[in-house]
Amino acid sequence: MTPLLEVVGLSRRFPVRGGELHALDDVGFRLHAGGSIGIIGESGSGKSTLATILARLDDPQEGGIVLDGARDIAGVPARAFGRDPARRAIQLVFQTAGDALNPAFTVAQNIAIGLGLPKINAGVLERVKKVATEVDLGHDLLERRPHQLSGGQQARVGIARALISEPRLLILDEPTAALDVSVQATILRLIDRLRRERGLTLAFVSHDLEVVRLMCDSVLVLYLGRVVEIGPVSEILTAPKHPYTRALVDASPGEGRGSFRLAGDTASPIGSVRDQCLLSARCPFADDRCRSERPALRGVDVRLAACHHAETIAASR
Amino acid sequence: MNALTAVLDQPSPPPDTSPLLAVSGLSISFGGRIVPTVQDVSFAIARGETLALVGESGSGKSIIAHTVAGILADAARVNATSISFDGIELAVDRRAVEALRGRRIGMVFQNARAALSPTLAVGTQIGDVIARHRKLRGRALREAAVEALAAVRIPDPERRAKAYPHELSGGMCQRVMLALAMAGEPDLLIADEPTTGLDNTTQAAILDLLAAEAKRRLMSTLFITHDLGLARDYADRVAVLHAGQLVEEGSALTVFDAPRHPYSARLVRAVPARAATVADLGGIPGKFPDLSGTVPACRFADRCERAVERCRTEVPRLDPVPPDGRVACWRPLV
Repeated sequence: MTPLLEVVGLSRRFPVRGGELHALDDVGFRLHAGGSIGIIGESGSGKSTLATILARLDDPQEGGIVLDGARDIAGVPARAFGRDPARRAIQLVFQTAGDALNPAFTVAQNIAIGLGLPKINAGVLERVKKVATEVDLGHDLLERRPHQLSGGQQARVGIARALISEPRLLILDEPTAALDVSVQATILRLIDRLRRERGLTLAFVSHDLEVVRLMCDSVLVLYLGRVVEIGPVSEILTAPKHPYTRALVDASPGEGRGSFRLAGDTASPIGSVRDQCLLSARCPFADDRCRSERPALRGVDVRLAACHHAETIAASR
Repeated sequence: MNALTAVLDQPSPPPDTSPLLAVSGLSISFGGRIVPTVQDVSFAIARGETLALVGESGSGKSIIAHTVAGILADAARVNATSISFDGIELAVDRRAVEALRGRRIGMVFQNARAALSPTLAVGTQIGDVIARHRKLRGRALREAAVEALAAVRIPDPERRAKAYPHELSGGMCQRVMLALAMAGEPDLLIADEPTTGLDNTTQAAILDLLAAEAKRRLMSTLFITHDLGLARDYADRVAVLHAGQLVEEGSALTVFDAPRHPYSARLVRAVPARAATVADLGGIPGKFPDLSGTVPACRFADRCERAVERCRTEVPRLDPVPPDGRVACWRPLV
């Protein structure tokens, strides 16, 4: 089966004082139609950079993003992608819904801009109303401005704006991080319902592992721009085989909260020391090999993990 | 018997079991509103205990925290039977709290950047607080400030001590503010969503640090959060607020595992960690009551599927729930 999305060797570097910041380093994964992948990692791991590039709002230096096994859209510059036919197929839901809406536009205009222009004619208004109904947004709110809405309503507008162009792939960048837990619950249920009704494919960026467990069937773990582990949610969140994933899982609040913590701080993403495991300075399992040889992403049971000691980590848990 | 066990075998003095903070009958009103924003709220925090004040946005949890800290805006009218901090009555003389704030009462609030001085390096700000408590100067003081930054997991603390707030990320400012509050070695820490916006790993490290301080120096914490799951993990007790009314209070595990108030039960259902599938998640039905108009006696009545006529006309009594909880509901869950 051809995947809806195949990402290969994606790299994104930002020039900074003192060298280059490696935001993404050789990132790849496949996403099948109707699937849902969670993208997790701490701040600075590259989650949002990846979301922005997948949504084609930013350009990678290297790598490909192949849609339907046919077309590499990584080569289309982000500033030209707005006119690309694939634009409508891929949409992004932003992190802070309120900030991502235009404060001068009405709610209806903010939704309509998902079609390209904030122009409302009878045909567009019909579509705005239809999608507003789909996201449980009352039609009485359509003439209001974003600041007159609650956080949950703003989140619904952001989702409606993304859905109005009938996308197949929805990229969600921490869509509920700014919301109360009780509002988050209703938004997550909404996204799940839309996913089933519309047959959407999701890429879901989140720092909340429990949300990823509920919303996704596979998960990709990023550390300093590199994929350290990728595979089925059920395996990775219950029996991680990379020490970094294990630290994330153990730090996640909840009944089974563990005690595994990494020492020290995230290494600097700036510079050229790339021929080692970037976690080696913080990892209790690290040895000379970890400090001199970059671990390749390799098959460990049903997942891929980039750790020389993946088997040991599995046993020690 | 070695020296250590000899010390441990000494009968220790009886612990001080009086609460560090006891708030009773607290109501807070704002001009032009018919109903008080916070209505007749009472709670107590024991020494070394963490009490989580839990509720949605608008529940009044932050203004209660501001009231205890004595930093509520003048526009608010505060009425309380008593706000007692270690025997000192704060409800009568609002200036009494001035002497305690920053010393015996520490605070961490949302929007940490606004709470820091923009014109001083963060290490200097922390040093100023440390100097008030410990006789340190010069290099020793600078080192203590760096240590305080390291304790809240700020990477590269030597360098960050020289940074100004605008040079730091939001999460970093939040940790600086926590270091600032902890440097005063407070008896009571008021923490208003102290880990919102931080990574889970940082959140876990910071909450572990607070728990360790609670144990080491018997620090008490008033922990404000909208996440009952987080409260369950890190608080000893929780007090659940809905629209300014205290609806349930009890040990964190009991309230989470067996909530008696329908609103608490709804908050539990919203916690992702509790849900097996997304279909198990539940939001809170209905609209948050509009406190600028009139509201039913139990302010949850219009959102509650168990509500009866009495809920709209008579404010529910706060009744004891065995073993050590309280619930304000005419038709509590069993």
